[in-house]
Amino acid sequence: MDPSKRLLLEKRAKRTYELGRLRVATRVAVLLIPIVALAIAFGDRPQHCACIGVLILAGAIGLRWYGQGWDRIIVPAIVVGSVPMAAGLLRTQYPVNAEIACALMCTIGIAGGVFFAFVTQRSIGAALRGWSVGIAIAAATASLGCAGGGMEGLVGMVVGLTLATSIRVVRDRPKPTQSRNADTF
Amino acid sequence: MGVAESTFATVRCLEASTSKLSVSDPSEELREQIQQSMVRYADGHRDAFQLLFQQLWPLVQLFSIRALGNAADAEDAAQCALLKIFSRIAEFDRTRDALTWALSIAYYEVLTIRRKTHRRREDHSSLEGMSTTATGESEVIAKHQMIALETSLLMLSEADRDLLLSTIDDDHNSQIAASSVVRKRKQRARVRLREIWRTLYGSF
Repeated sequence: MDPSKRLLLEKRAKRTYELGRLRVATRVAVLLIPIVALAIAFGDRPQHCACIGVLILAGAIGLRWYGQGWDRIIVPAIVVGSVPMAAGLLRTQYPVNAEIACALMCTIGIAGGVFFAFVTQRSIGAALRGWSVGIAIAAATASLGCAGGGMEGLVGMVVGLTLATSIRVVRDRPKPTQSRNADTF
Repeated sequence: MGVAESTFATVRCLEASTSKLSVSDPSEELREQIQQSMVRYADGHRDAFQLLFQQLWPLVQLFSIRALGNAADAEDAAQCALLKIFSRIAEFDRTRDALTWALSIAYYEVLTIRRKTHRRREDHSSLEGMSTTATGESEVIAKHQMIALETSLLMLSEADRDLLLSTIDDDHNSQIAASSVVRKRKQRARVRLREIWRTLYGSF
């Protein structure tokens, strides 16, 4: 094949690859848009929810398009963050005793955080960068339901994530003779 | 030359062509290299592009030329197939064999080009190489099946392929005398061939 034609084919192949990645990355909108729509519909501050939702969507699509392991933490982080978000929205709709609400939200948050750390431990391994990005996305999703109150859920989730993932990070830290997992960041 | 001997010769010829692409065992090592490059590129490691392109492009070209015969049509099919492969790499299932997956996409591109060519020829009322008579249609079907069989055989490991093709070479008495171990290995090779056929073309 003519070298110039081959070069052109290579460029086209790279371009179609990136477009293909972008197409796959945008599928996260199927999960995220209903979550954000719920937060806008039932939350106290729909404009804030909409802004946060757009940021989460852009970040999620960007990380999924980039790949290299970052894509694997997005969906678990959103799912885990949606639990305290839902609890926060319910609290907005059905106000309960403040102390009970606080304890409940903290528990839900911690449970969600621990769940996230264990579900994503294969994707993230002992890499702190992946863990912190996962927390950020989960926290952002949780904050959709916490805008009108219910920050306890968000704080609880961050506490749970930090505790559980710290334990994993320390426990799974590679020993001097062990080689690093190629899939970590 | 009978169908079986023709298949044997074609597969040996294609093996010889693809063996230039790798140093030691051509089929297994190349397949493994393609698998690793494909998985890396599917994971988003952009530096894997060049190696994957260099590995895949000759194989896709070879496959298209063998399937279509016509160099111009084969080039079109190969380019379309390659672009389709790269557009779908992000969705590649890592548990599948990369080479099989890529060539199955190439196969459908070949079929598309073949259909377009057939329609073009019908429109111009000239059925070059094809016929609407019963005999002509059966020849076309037989040719399709040959190509499908050759592709499936190429997807097998070298050991399995040698075993199955040696069945064609062996005479009847030798087959009877073959040990139960050899018979079992041939049976397993046939099962693997059927699985590859089903993956590429559906049920028999």
